[in-house]
Amino acid sequence: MDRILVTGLGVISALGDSVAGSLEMLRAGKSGISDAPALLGTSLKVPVGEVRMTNAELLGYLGLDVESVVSRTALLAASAAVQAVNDAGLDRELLSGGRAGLILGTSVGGMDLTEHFYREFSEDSCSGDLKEIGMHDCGASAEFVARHIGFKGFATTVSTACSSAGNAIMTGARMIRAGLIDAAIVGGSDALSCFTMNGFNSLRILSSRPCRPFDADRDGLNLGEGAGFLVLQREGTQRGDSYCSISGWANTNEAFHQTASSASGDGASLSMGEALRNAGLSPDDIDYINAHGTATPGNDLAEGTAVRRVFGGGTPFGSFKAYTGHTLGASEGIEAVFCALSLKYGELWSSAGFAVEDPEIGLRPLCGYHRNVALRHILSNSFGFGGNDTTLIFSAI
Amino acid sequence: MMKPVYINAANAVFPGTEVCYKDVIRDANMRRRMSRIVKMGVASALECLRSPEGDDYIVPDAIITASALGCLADTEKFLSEMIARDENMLNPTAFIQSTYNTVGAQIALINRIRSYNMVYVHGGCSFDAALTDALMCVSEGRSKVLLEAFDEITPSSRTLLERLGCFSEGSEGAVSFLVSDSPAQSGAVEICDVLFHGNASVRKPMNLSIDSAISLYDAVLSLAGNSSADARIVLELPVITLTLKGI
Repeated sequence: MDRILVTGLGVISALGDSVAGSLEMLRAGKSGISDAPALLGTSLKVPVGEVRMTNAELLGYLGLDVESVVSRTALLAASAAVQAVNDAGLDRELLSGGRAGLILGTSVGGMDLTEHFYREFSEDSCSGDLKEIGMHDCGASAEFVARHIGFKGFATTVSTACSSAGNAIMTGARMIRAGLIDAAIVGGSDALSCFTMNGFNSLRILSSRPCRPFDADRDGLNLGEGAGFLVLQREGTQRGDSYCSISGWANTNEAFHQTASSASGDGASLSMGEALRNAGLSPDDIDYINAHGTATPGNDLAEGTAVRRVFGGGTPFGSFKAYTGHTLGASEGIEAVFCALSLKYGELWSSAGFAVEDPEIGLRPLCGYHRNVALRHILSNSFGFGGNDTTLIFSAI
Repeated sequence: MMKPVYINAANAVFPGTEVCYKDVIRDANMRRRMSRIVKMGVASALECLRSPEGDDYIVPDAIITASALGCLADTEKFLSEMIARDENMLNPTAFIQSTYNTVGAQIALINRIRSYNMVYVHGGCSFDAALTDALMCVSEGRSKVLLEAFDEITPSSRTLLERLGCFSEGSEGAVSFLVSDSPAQSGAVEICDVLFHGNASVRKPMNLSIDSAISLYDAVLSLAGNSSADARIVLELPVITLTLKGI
């Protein structure tokens, strides 16, 4: 069976607008989370991982008319996708007519524009700029990316809440393995919106402080925004170097509760176990676990318990959420980029936000910047509302 | 990717042909929280999953749903409340129920189905992608796949689709199929050929997802139980072309 290689990376988040810039921040242990939203027009003053570019600046970065009306989710997605495609050196022929796929994961698509439109429309149903509502449909953001990179192959969009990007990546890998395509441009994007800020606030799971994944005093998550994309290619069809391979995946549903996870970590155990079986690996083969690690009391307990159940106590693990915030549908896209960098450079970085071990979890995430680490396989989790649990495994090449 | 694949059951719920939800969705608390489209989506799926004897439910190895615009009523409810209350003291129920994976998640929750669960949200081509995934699932060894498209039209979305010039009657409802690697005792339809031809430019903006599903549903109904040699239908969807025959 041919390996599926990760040949291109692209990312934009609170850590910066490039892979190189993000890597510097991770190495320095520097978080991108700010005290409150600076660009989003919300009255909720809580820490967020905001991308420090206005829509006009993103449009400029993409070489487009800065007056255009485009969803921020689409702009972020295109910014990351174009980096990944250039990094992989995908040629015009493949993009415009070859056996390639584009899959975007997002939780709310163009909601940033919709909520703006809705303020006027709800007062008067004849008002509001129709260009704003035209991107409500999640597929419109994927279309925007496709048009921007000159892509004419199979394109689709998936939405399974916070596991969306994980599922986009998994589907791309499965389509390559099934022989439907040779290359997949896959990842996720979500822009901050009042809708999601208020949604999570109404659930009382936002922290009023920078988040602390797995810490004994953690009290909620910080929302973030951004996009992360990978290019996956069947081994033998790629141009240049690769970062790693994607060697296993699993998508399961905990079927426990609409939003909460079971405290015994059944859902996480199921998806991690299935991913290991899919990859033909045992828990001892995993050298690092990228946890979903949102810093909510519930998730970290459930996931930490599952990690102990499946791996015992010895496998290093950590969360990126204190660097970028919880980027929802983009999270596994952004974090897969970081996992690929870990494998390529043999590095692991501090699980930011952690200070004190939670006795109920009984595990400490990795602290400090570690170089020259022998990393064979990294397992990466993303868990969403509705019990949608996805686990990916990336391997060194 | 052609192992034999069958469609063993199909069900559609449209406004006006809705069932009595109390009979199908027994948990009153869950049912109360569900919007109309979620009830339609869950009921259609459960009918499709009914065992041949009718007294139990088949446990599928995958649940794949598709929707262009998702749960609009709950989305609008949360938006309205957010604006009216100036982002204060909001009830989370509408937010939770507004996510695109709500229908798939509720189906899984009701029957404790812990397997593969996926949601496609690519406008009018959502169902095509979901169907492609269902066929991949069967070729990967998942014997039974529940596949469903759902979309709703609210007064607001109707107004907006009309303003955009793309409203069409009949695109609201839920259409479900049980896709399997072995045929049911009776009424199964075989997918005897598949041509995958994904193309990004075919998507029409703001189309809803159930149109493709309805084409497949109509084809399945007309072939089910018709095993004559010339009873075949070639169904050309934007992303995939299927050849179907009754058995």
